[in-house]
Amino acid sequence: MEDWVWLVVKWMFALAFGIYSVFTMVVIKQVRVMNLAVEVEHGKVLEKLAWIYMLAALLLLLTVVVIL
Amino acid sequence: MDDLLRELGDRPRRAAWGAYWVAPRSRFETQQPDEKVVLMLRQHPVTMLGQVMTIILMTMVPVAVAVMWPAVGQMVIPARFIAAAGILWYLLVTAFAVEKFLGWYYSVFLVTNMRLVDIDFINLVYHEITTANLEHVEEPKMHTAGVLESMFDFGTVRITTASKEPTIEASGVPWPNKVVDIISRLSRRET
Repeated sequence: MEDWVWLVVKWMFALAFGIYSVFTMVVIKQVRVMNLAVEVEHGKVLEKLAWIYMLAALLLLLTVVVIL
Repeated sequence: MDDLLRELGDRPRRAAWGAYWVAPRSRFETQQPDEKVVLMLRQHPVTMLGQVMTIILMTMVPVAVAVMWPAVGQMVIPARFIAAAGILWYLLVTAFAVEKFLGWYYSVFLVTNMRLVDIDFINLVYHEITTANLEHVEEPKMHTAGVLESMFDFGTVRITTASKEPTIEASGVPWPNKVVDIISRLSRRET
């Protein structure tokens, strides 16, 4: 395939990286907001898990960008 | 609180995998100083069965593609792109699962000694909180429909109120008849 096709694909992956980063941040923010709205049994644990999720996802996405 | 629970014929307990919690330790944003949470409900975990199945099917998609379309491996697509697409796919599946789980976990229906509070986590950027004072409760009713609801004893509780919000609803909650009974008793105490 043409070089420009791979370039487009690479940029699409980079875009996905950006969108997913925002998504994971929204998850953290929303867990915090909901923990303030209602104190559920494992709210604080979920907040920590949301951070771990964000870091793991970003690490994976960074790997994708590097391997491409 | 103990007197109130005795009057309602219940005791502090947590059942149905946390979907039915009598006298929880939970607090909420607009709770009044003398307001006590009598009941915290969320949808019965069985209601998530459809979503769990969808997630399982989604995790199998790359395997299915590899099996049904073996040519993918021999095509001109470099292996690194296939690996990247796989990682992205599983991240999407995770995002879907996270969103569904948070929606289930944070959508709670609270019955306090003063009012009903319905917290709906619609999606990641939108949540809705509806309240109705117990003195405005007119007609609490429940219904169960379908095999799963009958088997696991969960259903929808719909409460008609005289307030601005005409109905307040808790869908898929465990033991809906018990919930209706508690709301009716609390409402009678208030009026």
